Amino acid sequence: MADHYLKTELEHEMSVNPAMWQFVQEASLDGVWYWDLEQPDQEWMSPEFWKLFGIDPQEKTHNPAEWQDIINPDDLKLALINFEQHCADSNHPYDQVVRYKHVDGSTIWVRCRGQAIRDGTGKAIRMLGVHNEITAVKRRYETGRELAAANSELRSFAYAVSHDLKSPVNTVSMLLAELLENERHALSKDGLDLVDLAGTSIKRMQVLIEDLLSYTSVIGEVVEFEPVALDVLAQDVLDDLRQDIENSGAEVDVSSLPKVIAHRTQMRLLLKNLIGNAVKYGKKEGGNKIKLFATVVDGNQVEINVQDNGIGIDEADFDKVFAVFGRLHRYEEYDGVGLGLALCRRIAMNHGGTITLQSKSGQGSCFAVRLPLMQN
Amino acid sequence: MTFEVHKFIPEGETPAITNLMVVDDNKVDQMIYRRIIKRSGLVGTVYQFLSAEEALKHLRRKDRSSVDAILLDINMPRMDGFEFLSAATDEMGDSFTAMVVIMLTTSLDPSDEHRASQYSVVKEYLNKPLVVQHLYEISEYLARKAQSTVEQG
Repeated sequence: MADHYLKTELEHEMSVNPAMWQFVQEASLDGVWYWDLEQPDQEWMSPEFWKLFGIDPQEKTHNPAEWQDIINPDDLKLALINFEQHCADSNHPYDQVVRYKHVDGSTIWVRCRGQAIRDGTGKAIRMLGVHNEITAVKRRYETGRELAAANSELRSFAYAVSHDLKSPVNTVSMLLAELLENERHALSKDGLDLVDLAGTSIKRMQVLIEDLLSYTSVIGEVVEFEPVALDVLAQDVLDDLRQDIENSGAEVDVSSLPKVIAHRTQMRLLLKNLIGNAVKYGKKEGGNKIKLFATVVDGNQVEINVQDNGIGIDEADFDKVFAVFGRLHRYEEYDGVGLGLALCRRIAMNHGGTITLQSKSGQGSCFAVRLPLMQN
Repeated sequence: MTFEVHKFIPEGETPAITNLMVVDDNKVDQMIYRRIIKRSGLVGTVYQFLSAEEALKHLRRKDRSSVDAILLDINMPRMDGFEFLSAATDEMGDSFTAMVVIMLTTSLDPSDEHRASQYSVVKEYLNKPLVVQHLYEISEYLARKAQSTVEQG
């Protein structure tokens, strides 16, 4: 089949009109080089190459020693090995990512590709090469890796700290129980009150440690998604919270909930926190109604809603309730450590979803979590 | 001797749990366990070990008395609870797995509970602190086990 007429025309234009070649080069490449392998101290470098490193091209004399001076020595070795193999065998590509030093000391990453031009005997006599600068891509990749490593370190650190804190807290809790068991009669009313307060503080510390651990367990965790039936999960959570629900006199109304693609344990934590909050911050004087329902949004997302008619949240405080350790009440009014909604937001994020809040002070709250819906 | 033995119920009587081993590296916790165990009146003799290696050494002894149940911590220096379970199962086989091991731990890692359930010798996974109720549960378990042995026998 004959070439398209425009391809033929373009090739002709490129050969007679230098401005066209120059445009292609400047628009798509960060440097071109052309090396005389019969006089290896002669290698023409396009000015763009030197500008990458903050160097004035006028100072340069088209001698390969000039770039070999500023390339990373290990990368130079790799490039020279590829060069030799490519000259010996054209099937071996001359293509590698190498590091150069910018005049300001920073590292510039460059992909360098080349092709030998051979004489009648197959001997390489010239080499044509191109440069692409990819520092931004490399940096983003490195940052991602560093971030993942830092998250993972933070997670193990928080786990270790929580565990090491929990052990002595438990011991103190047992010591207090022993004290009451054996010395109750010997203690004054004041003494008993103090032991009781110590017990309450220890209990609070235990809750804090456990919440902290739940939170750190979902930071940057590589989650494995599976189909999760939310109605089954919601029932499990309601069973877990049965005592609190009965104590508060709340009525919980669960509409049918769909299946989602999600991390089971994280979904459970999410529902437990949202329903637990609805119970805790529900209407105090009875008549507390909690609704759990889901709607499909845009055909491929599910929105899970947890609604209560409790004390509500002022719009000015919306950001605060989602913050780590963000609290609106003193511990004696409503217990808790301020991690529940931060955890929920983190879980929604891990699932590529969002959590939003509709509320008015005194008029109840509705938390809406959007997640990808399971298709079929 | 590198472990402590406390006899709470004299010879001739038959306590619900005749011989109980407790393996935990925390000395204060061990002291409290001893008080709770004594108060329960359910345990004949308690053997307390501050390391899993010592407990394993004791299990290897030919002249030791029988062991009904072991309360085992997970996080311990050098040999942890899981390493102890693996070593004892490998070395002693059925004579170890016939015992009743109860994990007693502060571990917060949910995967630990799953891991413990992989060992058939582990019959229960309890969170600290130890309370008398836990000892009742162990004695009920042992009674059921004795009953089913009689029925099968």
